[in-house]
Amino acid sequence: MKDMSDIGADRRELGCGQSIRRTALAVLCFYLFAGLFNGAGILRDAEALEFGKQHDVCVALAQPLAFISQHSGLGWLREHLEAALYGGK
Amino acid sequence: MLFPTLGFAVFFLIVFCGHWLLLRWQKMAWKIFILAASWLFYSFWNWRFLGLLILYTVVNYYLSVASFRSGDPPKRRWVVLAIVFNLLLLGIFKYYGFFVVSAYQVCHALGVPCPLPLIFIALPIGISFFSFQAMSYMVDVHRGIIQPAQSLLDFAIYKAFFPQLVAGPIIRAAHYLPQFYDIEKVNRIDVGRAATLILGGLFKKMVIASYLAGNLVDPVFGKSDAFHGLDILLGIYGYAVQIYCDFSGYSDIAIGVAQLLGFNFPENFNMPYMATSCREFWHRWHISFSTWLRDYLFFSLYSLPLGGLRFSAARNYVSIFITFLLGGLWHGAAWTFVMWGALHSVYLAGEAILEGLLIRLRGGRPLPDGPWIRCGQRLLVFHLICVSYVFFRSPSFTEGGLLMWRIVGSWSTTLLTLPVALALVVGFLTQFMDGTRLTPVWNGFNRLPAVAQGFLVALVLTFILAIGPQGVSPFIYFQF
Repeated sequence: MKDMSDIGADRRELGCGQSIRRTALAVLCFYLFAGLFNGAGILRDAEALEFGKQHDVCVALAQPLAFISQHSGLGWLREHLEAALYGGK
Repeated sequence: MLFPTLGFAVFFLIVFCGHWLLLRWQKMAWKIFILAASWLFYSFWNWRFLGLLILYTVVNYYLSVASFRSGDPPKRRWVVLAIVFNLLLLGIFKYYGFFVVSAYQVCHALGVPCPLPLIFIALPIGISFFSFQAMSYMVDVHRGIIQPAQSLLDFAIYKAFFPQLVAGPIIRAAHYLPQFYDIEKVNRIDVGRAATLILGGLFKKMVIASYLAGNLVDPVFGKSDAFHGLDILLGIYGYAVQIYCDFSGYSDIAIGVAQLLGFNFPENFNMPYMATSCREFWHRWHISFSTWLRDYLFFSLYSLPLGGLRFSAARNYVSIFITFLLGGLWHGAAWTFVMWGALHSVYLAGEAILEGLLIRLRGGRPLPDGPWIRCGQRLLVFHLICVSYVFFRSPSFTEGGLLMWRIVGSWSTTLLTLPVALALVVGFLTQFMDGTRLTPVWNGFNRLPAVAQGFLVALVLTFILAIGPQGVSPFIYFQF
């Protein structure tokens, strides 16, 4: 087992990691893919929010995402996983 | 606003973009933006308590400045005043009800009326964390370890920085402020580590902790008379895994989120259930809290006269006992938490006494070591920790005692299913992600193209969202 002296070491000092521009691109790509993979789930979560302004904004934003997710076939993975595990939520 | 929610995802995207854009443009605008974002994050729970956070910030900042300017060495009165202020607010908001109920019970037993009014005070989320953070800041300024923050705005950002605001880790100013003042110099982000921490934390919380809570722990602790033997034992093991996954999951997400914003926070857990002694357990569990207790409470108690105790061992045990009683009380205003702390102090003192005794019996030779001995020690320590969890989780001593008693009953089980067993084993194994053990994964991830990184993280997140139970319960440590 490793000792504990390495806990919390700042690896950036060792030159690990990547530029901020590249990080920003990765984060934006993550949001895009996560939205497309989980469009239907996001819409479901948004609809489950308490009624009010937040609910309306979230649902309005999630609806096109769910539509694209469903029609592009990218929501397939989550749908199939949920169907296999829970018989569809 | 909980980390694993849609609301936080939107919030973080805005903060991430604003953070890096403003930092490149104008630092003052960045400071105002980060403070506003952190206060907004806190306001999502209850905006009324934002005033309390601001009060903590203003009072502690000006007291730290007064302490710093009071001479060399600084006058003690400022740090004492700050500690009294922080403990007073913590006492009012967190412990008032507890003390009044306890006083009523004592007065009732003595047959005298209790003069204290019984009023309900809502608990501001994260108050224990930011009180402790404020006290360590004041003590560090007093001891000359750090200088006060350069402005009230800087200190307000340190106090309110959203990744660590409501449930830690308890980041010390000596660690945070140097990074804060040099944040514009950050030009590399360890995305591999950040992504692994965030995904690992989400998996621990959303899949393991949530599943175990709903299918094993809550039924056993909520209706203990309906279960016996193996079910209760599994429930206790389940709670050990659940609380680790829940709290270390939160810490991991907080550290990962801070890392994406250019801040490096120390890790808060390091395979706690692999500890071979209770002392080692406290070097591995909630490290920011245990080191806080050691540096600001234990050492202070140890240096006090403590009724004239001369022997260092006796002073040590008394200091451990008081430290852990207060550490237990920090977790919640209930006697069960005090009991949990007392048990840990007994473990630590007992362990030290036993170790000394065994070494003396062996004529000063060190204790035998080997893989089987270490395995036995780990099992023993894990079970001692589990006993303390029974009181930590139970609503009362009686419930906790009855739960322990029922373990000796029938060994038939109704709760042990394949998913429960899997969640227990996988949850236990998630400890191996702590520390720097995943360095090859981080390095491999950092070498991928940015689009592939985004794709991969989104794919893993989709798996987590699909297999986790629906809905996210609040983190256990939010109540502390």
